[in-house]
Amino acid sequence: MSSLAQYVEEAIRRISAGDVQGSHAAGVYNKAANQFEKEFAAYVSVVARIPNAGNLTLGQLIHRLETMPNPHPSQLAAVVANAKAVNDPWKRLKHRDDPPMEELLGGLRAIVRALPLPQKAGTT
Amino acid sequence: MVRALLFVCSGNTCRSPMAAAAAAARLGSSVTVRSAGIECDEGLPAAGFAVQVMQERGIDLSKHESTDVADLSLQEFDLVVALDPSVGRQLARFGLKRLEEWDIEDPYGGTVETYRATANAIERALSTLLSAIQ
Repeated sequence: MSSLAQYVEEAIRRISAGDVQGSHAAGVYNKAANQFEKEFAAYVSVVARIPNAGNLTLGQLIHRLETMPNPHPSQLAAVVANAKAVNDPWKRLKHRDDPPMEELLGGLRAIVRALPLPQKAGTT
Repeated sequence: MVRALLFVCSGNTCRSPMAAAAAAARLGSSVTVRSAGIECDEGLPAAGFAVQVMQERGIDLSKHESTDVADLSLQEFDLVVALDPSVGRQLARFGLKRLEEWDIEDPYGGTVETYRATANAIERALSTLLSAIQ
């Protein structure tokens, strides 16, 4: 299991137990999403052949995948769906909202579902 | 003499940015004032209601971006203020020059009135602190 997956599993446990709440949970979410964005960029740089993927936001990376010709659309759709589920609460935080704990937990569970990211488009 | 002052809460999107901005407004350029979160990573803006209630006090928080306490050299600060006891316990392990502990409730998820109450509590605690260190 990767260090990100371990961190997120532990974050889900801590938030579910009430050990981490409120803005602390938002901070934990930001930390996890930042790291997920880096790993997702590395994945997209390979499957979509984008050299500067590390400069793109998670939303931009998702868009690149959605608009990419792909021989395995259903498998890529799962990757995209999980990435969107990670990005949605993160966008709310970046737009100064206070998303509820359930929403943050949903995004963290999406990171767990998404990892490990496939090595190339169409693989699982 | 306090020349560098750090406020720390958990996520660095509500309480500590509000406290740091309020302190900076009172202290001017004579003291370096920063804020950070105990576990947050970089890049989150201040919560919308935090920006709004500080704007009501004539203080601009719109350009704030979160900083993780792990990314700062804590020894550079003469005084570190933990916004609640839980944060204080986590900061104690860093061997700080001086640690002050407040008890300000996290307004996350609350209404604008919740955030106003937080700003008022911060102002009260800040007045006490500044009268002690100035």
